[in-house]
Amino acid sequence: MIKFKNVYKIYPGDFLVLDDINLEIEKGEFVSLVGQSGAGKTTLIKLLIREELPSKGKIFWGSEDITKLHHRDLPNLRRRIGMVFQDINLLSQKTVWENISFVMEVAGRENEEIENEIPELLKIVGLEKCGDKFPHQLSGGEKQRVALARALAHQPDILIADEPTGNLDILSTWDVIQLLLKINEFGTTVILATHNKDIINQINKRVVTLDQGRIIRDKEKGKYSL
Amino acid sequence: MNKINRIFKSGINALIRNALLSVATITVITVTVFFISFFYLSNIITREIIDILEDQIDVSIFFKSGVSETDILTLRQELLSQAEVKNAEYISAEENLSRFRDRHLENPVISQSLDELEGNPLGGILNITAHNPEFYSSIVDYINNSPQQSLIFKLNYFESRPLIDKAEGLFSMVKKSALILGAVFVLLSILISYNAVRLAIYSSKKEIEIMRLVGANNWFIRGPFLVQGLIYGILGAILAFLLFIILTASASLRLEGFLPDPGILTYLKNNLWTLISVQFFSGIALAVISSYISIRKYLRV
Repeated sequence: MIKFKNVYKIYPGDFLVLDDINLEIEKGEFVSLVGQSGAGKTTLIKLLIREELPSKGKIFWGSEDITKLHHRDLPNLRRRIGMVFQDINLLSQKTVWENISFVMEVAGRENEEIENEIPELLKIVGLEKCGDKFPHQLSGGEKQRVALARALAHQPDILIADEPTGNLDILSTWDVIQLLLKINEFGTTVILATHNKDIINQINKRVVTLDQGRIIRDKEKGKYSL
Repeated sequence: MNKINRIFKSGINALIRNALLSVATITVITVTVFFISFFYLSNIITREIIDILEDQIDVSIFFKSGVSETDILTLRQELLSQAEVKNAEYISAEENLSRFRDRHLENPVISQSLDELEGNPLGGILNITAHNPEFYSSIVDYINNSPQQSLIFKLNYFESRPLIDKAEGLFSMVKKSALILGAVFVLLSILISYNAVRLAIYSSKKEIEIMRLVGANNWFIRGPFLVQGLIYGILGAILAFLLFIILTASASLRLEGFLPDPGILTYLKNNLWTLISVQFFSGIALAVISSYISIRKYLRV
């Protein structure tokens, strides 16, 4: 489904962040990207959502090389991806309901569909009563669950979570991880970038380990080891 | 239609939720529109006042006593056929005498002297007005070279020439400085307005980037900001209009006597629709164009 082929990312000043990345992810997989801070996990994700372009190499989504996409076609790519960020990135001026409906509106969904689906999504993430609240009225864990609901509102082919539990307490962390596993069970491909050892060891899924921009290990049902 | 509704709803919500920022932006736009309309109207008023003053400058030809009305009217006809001449008012010898008597009613010596004279000692007059004060010297040249030159007793141009020259220079200077000053002030206030809108959009920089990352296309992001710009512009224009009317009404009383008739309120009434159009056009264009330009760089994600 997704293929990184000889991908390099070099920032100005000859700062090599990704070094010859070759990686394939199949549909329906749950892949954890692990590595210390600065290993290149976030950069890899940025390339996948075309927030940045690789310095060299190709990235395929199916048969399409997404590095060749025109700027105006990026919204279509991003509508196929559900994205959960470490700093959550909710729209602060919109309510929980509006945050979720926004991504459905940009995808051209009808009002009726939106009205029907948002309560379902809020139920999945356990926030049925929070629709009218603004992000600043929620806890960190609740915000991240809204971000998950928003990511799911796309009905995405792939869900990418970049350190989604980085700012959460233990209970909220496991809430979010359980949700990711549930989403994966429904058939959505999940890519989870984290450096949380406990999470990786518990979930027992594929683990891709990055170190200084290189993939040093890629194991089915792996454990956390650097 | 659904998309447009969503964009409008989103724009209005954002405007209300950012009430403080919206009020600040609208205030800056109000001041800018006020300045634009102030200089627009003052430019019109300056031109009209100058036109009135220019109309008051004329050259008078005093004919010798006994010159026939036919001769005077012939010269009048010839002058009117000149492109430079705007008007040539004829005052007959009898009318001239009657006006002279009226002017000196309280001076019995003059009245008695006139009574003792046989016939009318005064001749007819032609008051010439030009389209532009610059034209007077060529009109005077034309008169001096005409066959009727010998019939003329006096031409007051040479007496009033310094005044005409002075007025001509003053008018041209006033016109130029009003234009330059106006342009500078308008430009400054446009820049301030643009920066206010830019600041408002800068505060949403992060949100714009998030919108791009969750798959919104540029028009879906830009739309609500343009709607906000539109509302800023409309409200700014309405407030500037009210402010303008109130200030003009109070200033008109103070300026009465300084400005020639018909007075500042009449100028305002005569130009009301143009003024409203200028205010709405400048307010909306300013806010919408500023929003469009300001948001551009955040859409590159």
